[in-house]
Amino acid sequence: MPNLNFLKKELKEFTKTPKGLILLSLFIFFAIASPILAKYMNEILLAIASDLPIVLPEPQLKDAWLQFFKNMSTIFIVYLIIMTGVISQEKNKGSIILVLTKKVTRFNFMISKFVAGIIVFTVLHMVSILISGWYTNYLFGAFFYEGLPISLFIFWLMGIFFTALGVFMSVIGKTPTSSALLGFFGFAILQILSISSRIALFNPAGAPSIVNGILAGSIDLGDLWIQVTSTLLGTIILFILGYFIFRRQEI
Amino acid sequence: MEIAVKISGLVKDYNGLHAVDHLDLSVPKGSIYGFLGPNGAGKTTTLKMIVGMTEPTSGEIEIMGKKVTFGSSYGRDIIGYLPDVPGFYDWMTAKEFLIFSGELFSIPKKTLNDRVKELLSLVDLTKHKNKKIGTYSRGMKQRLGIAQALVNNPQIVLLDEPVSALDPIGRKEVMDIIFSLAGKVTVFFSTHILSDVERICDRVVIINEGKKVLEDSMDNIRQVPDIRELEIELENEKDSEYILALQKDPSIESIFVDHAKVIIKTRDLDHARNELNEVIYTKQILVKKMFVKEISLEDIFMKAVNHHA
Repeated sequence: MPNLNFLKKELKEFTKTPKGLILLSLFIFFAIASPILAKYMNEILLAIASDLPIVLPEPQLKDAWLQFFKNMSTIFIVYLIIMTGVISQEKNKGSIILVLTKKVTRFNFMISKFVAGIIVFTVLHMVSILISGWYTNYLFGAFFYEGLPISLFIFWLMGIFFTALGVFMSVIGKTPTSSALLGFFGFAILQILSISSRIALFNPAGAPSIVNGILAGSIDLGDLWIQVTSTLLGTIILFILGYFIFRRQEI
Repeated sequence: MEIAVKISGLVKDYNGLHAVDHLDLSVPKGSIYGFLGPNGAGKTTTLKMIVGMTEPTSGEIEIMGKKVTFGSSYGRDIIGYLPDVPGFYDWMTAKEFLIFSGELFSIPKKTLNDRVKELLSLVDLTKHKNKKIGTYSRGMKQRLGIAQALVNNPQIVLLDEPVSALDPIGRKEVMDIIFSLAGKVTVFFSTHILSDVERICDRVVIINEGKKVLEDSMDNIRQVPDIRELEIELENEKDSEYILALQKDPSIESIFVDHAKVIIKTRDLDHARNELNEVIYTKQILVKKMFVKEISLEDIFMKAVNHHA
């Protein structure tokens, strides 16, 4: 169980330091920008390359969500890098020892960091969905398509996986920089594995390919349990592995 | 004598090197115990093993009679710890940090508020309690570090080099706070600054290269039979020749002459004084001043460390 007082401090830290503001700004910006970009892509292309005969089909609401998922996958790297600092920064600064010498076990400490990350990500995800949904509805007259709830859920689940990955890298990295680099390489490898939507089903970070597949109708919704299971398993394995390393770590 | 912290045969190896080498020590309850040694002697490693942050290679640690193991949370309620470089959350104020620290011990709100008020006053941070820690000076942070170590009203306080990075004023302020804890809690206090130990400690252990070289009460340490120094200032410089003749005496270790000043190092202070008085009397030497130099902890430290090496 997380230590509630430590969890409270973790959540407060997101509001009191720039990291919370950076994430919130990015999520809101792309939530607003995604439907706008989708709606006016033809006009934007015409404005910047009027001499080229590029004509895109009339944008639809699915294009708005396609743009949303594309942009959100990019923001995940920022979220991951921020998460890779949650423990390594405390180790680097020395604040971890002031907490762990009080009545907070290493398990309490690590799970509080993880839960705080999940809460923050969930709030950001919800805010961005609401904003993007409202703008999509405003620009396209509708916002819902079949497969949207499961796509959003899979994206949320990938956020949870990235939270676990960030915490794991934060445990194994000796400094915030080394944790961030490890996180970056981890992200790059997972992106390469997502190239095919069939492989992506088994990749805990395969949500971007899968939601594209859902939008294109190339993925059978009945197969999504594979993706959900692999993401949950990946999350649990990373957390447990991270905890076993953290438990033996000398601070 | 009740023992607050007992360490037996403690060893910590890093890549085959002994950071702590079969260390034994006992910290009596209620004492201010100085843990003295040069940088790299193994003080921080030992303290980290006591608070369960570092795993001993072998040996045992007992706190209030109960064995402590790496990673266990035993003793958290009764221990307060200040690391050598305390890291705070800079976005918090001192008051917020102390409340946060107290909440981690699940101290009831009312009790905690009173305790925080009392601690802020003890460490003289009441005026700055609502300022962000990020704006604090090193000395203020160190005082806050002591306050957070005391928030749970511990029986034992472990302080790792609490004054080493401070200027003289900051050092005095922190040392005064530590001294004010005398009799209320057991203070186990590591330092490489001899004068600090000399000023406030009841007992001292000296370690070097991870090994204990001396452990005793301050009173006994000062009485350690040793080479003592007798300093004499003469009216006439040439009279030093008569005193130099004392060098033949087996109890005299050495005689050093610097113009009219003579320093006699002896193994038997009383005998040397008698011999010297006789020379002064027979040769009618005029003495400006004569005094026995107090043994400083530095002398003991150097002797203990050199002997050990």
